[in-house]
Amino acid sequence: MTEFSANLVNLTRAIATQPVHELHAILALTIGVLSATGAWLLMQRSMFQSVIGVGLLGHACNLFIFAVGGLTRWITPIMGPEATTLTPPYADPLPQALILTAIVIGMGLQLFLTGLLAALAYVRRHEVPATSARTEADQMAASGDADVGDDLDEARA
Amino acid sequence: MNLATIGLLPDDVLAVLPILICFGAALACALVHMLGGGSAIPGQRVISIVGMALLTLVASALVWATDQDRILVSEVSGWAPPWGIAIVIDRFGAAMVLISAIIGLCAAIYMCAFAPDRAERAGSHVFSNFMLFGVCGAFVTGDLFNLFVWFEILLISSFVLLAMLGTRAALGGAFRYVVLNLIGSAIFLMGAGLLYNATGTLNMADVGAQIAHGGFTPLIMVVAAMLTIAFAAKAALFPLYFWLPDSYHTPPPVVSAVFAGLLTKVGVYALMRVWLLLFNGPAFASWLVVLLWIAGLTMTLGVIGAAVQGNIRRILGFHIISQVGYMIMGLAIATPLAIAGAVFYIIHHIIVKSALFLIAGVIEARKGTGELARIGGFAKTSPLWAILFAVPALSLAGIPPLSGFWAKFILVRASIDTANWWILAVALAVSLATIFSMAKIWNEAFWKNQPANVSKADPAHSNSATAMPRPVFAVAACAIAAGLTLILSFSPERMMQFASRTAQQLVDPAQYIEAVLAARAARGTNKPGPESPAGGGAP
Repeated sequence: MTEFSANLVNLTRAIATQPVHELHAILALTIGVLSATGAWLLMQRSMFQSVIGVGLLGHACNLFIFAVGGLTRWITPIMGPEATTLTPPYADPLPQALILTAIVIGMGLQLFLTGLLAALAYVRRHEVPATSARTEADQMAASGDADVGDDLDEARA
Repeated sequence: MNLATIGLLPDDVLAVLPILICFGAALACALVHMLGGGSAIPGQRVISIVGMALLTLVASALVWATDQDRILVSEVSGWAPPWGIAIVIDRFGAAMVLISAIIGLCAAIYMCAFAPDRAERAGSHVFSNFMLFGVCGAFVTGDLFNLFVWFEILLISSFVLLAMLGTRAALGGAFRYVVLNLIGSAIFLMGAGLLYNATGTLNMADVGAQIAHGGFTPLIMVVAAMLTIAFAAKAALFPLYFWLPDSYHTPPPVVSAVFAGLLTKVGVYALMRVWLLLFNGPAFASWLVVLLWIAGLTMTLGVIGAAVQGNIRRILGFHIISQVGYMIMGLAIATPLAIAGAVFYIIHHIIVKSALFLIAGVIEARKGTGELARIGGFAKTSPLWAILFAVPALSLAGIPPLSGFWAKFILVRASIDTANWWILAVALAVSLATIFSMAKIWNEAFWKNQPANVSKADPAHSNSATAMPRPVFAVAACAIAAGLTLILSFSPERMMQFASRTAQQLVDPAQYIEAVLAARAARGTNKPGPESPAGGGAP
């Protein structure tokens, strides 16, 4: 066990001591894969896949902004007591603060979307099964729900 | 307390009042909703009306103050711009806050006419006030990332409001709306991140100053494209408009009236802000023609979409799209006259469109449906509603001397001045097609007789008395909106002068930039933070 954790530490250290530009490549690839997967999932018909797609796209976006701030290692963006400017290279902390906000908002929305999906599934399960779109429209119009055109394109999902 | 007293409050107090009022109203509604028990709904209605009335008062004071050539700047928690978040209100922002407040007030009054529906019992007042909070915030902020946050606040509230009715159509419409807006927000966020990388600042005035002073790079062009796409999705521009007619007819009518009036216009506002303040320079002028094409396509496709619809709110939803095209046309022509036309158009459109949606809600409450094939005879049974509908409908179509005519007249004049003949032809043709749609609603809902084949025993339209027990409130709300349209119609020169002054301020962003960055000059540069922000981002 201790050997395993020692190996893990070594591996982490090995990645962490890569030159910065190689980390850039890893990050760029990750962002690319995430956004491509997200976009692909969004184009699927299933709503559940859209939810996952939106989540992946959000992560890609957050990592993108993380990269925008610059990548450095072991350098803190804190000025010394006498300094008036920061000497580069340093990773700008502001985009990282922005990501924190974006992550919180994104997670809330992801949850909301999941809840919406659950509500939609619930409504579908409990409605009277319609034999055709037309009778369904009639039923809904009679029950006071004026808007049914939507459900026709909904049915494919 | 009169307008001038409020208007003379210190800048930093006055500038944050609108958002504080909305936030306070939302919190009070939430509190009453949680603790109120049986009195919860009347209590929330009163809070909403009082809150919106206060907001209208403060917003009038803001318009008064900014019309003295003042630009109100408030530094949030005392951090000088460009490091801290600045709240900046110029003429355009103040006018937008005022018109939002008026629409919020109309909606709050209108709601009192109806028996509480499922959405209201579930606390829709809380979210509509939060939405106004987000809308006002978006109109007053001077910081790009802060704009993102305000957008999220108003969008999250609008998501909840859309889904609140819990019907299948509402949930389905809400789902598509949420997904599309999340994609839009992701693009916005990436654009903001890239812009920070390129300029080292998120303060809009600072970004504008840097780009104007030779900070233009191809990267900035990419940012401009990303922000334009993000806001175009929210403003329902071609080709990102399909979500709007799908979702705007599913929530309660009062909610869709506020959406119709305000939400797409926040997108239009953001587009105007971004193109006139951030990306203002000769390097971008050639790209405005792309916006002009988008405007033309948006107008045309919106009005064609409306022609085939048979549901009142869906028709009106497609017309929002086509009308947004006119505003973007003004922005894309970009002469001071055209910008003034766009400002006039936005204000006219918000009033008129909300009024039409409110009246569509009355029709739906009376008849139980908004399908034109199933309703009729309104001109005979309720001539008052027929008049209240006719005024905004004719105004929307641009019949002289109503406000829509003046708004279109200015835009047409601007396109003649700049020799943009094809957009002129498109604008006039679309205007003609709008008359066709309005005439369709008029003929079907008001003029023809109630179709006989719809049985009178249909439970949906036998209960108008229980659905709308106090119609006087609905009449009052619609009369406010129709009255405002008439004021705009019969004294257009005052509004036009205000729009020109606004446009002058918008086409020359130096005033705005100076007002925001004056604070930095006054404080010196001893604030903590990167001395030369441009160097910060690059690794």
